[in-house]
Amino acid sequence: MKVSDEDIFTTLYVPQYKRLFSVAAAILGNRDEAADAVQDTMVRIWNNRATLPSIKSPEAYALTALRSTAIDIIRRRHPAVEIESVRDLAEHDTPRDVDTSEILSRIIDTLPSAQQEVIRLNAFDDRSPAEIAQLTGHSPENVRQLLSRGRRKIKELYLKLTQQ
Amino acid sequence: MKQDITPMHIRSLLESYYDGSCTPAGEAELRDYFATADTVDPDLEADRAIFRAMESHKTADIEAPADLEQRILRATVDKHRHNIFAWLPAIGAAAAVAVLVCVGLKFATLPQPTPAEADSYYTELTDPDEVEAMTLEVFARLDAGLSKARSSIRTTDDALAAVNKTLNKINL
Repeated sequence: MKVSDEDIFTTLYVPQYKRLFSVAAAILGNRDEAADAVQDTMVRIWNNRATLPSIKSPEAYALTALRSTAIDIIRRRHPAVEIESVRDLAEHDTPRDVDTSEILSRIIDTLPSAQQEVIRLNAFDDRSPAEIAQLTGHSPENVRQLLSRGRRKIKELYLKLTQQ
Repeated sequence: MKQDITPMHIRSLLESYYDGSCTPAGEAELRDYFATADTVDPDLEADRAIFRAMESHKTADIEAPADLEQRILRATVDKHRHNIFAWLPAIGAAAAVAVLVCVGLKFATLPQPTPAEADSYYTELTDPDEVEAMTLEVFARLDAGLSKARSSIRTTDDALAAVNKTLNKINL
């Protein structure tokens, strides 16, 4: 008996929502946006359900779709966040008044989207560089460079903001 | 052999960390060190603050919203089924109209007696028995024709009722 596209979607893709939410929350750092990202991803997968029978790895397919959605959200959310906006945070409130995690979150938001994604997956979702390479499609060397640049930038900006 | 956690060892791990080449085990060691160290060298203060802030953003234990699965199904499978059912009243109305047209056509194509055929029914009878027999035959044919007409009218009424019902549903 032939399995319908709807059956494939509801049995192989919908149950992945919890795992996808965890990854989305790590990338976006926001629970509500993560839920929206997962829902939008599932709608995209549903709209292309005619191709589902030919997909060999539903997990990889769903994660790739989610990543694409999450990156779009990051770009829309912070198309050009400048360090000035983070400096404003330090000018109007002393670093002691502002939670360090808030400063860190704002600093990460200023990074290029590729660095943001890799930093968040590693720091917030405990993904190893090898897992990040597999998830994002970046080469291992590229992941290393993105992590290196992102981490150095975070420390540089943190020192600038907290040593005024 | 486990490396002793000395400031030199921590700095070595940090160097590989900022180079992006630190192993997962090395990163875990750094996290544990900075999470538990009460005091660190002044040049490691920023690193300790950053590592601790990173830990506070961990999402591994964050649970998905309880209604997320239902939201997904509403936006996908349920919406698709609703769109299909929305077409049913229109399909029903079209079917009812088709039935009505067929019944009307059937009515219109019933064989009608031609003038020549009508004239052929005229026969002068003189024998009383023949008159009685012919009269009874005429009545029988009339009765059969009326029954057919009544049956057709009932079918038309049923079709009209179905159309009205469907049109009322659409209007709702």
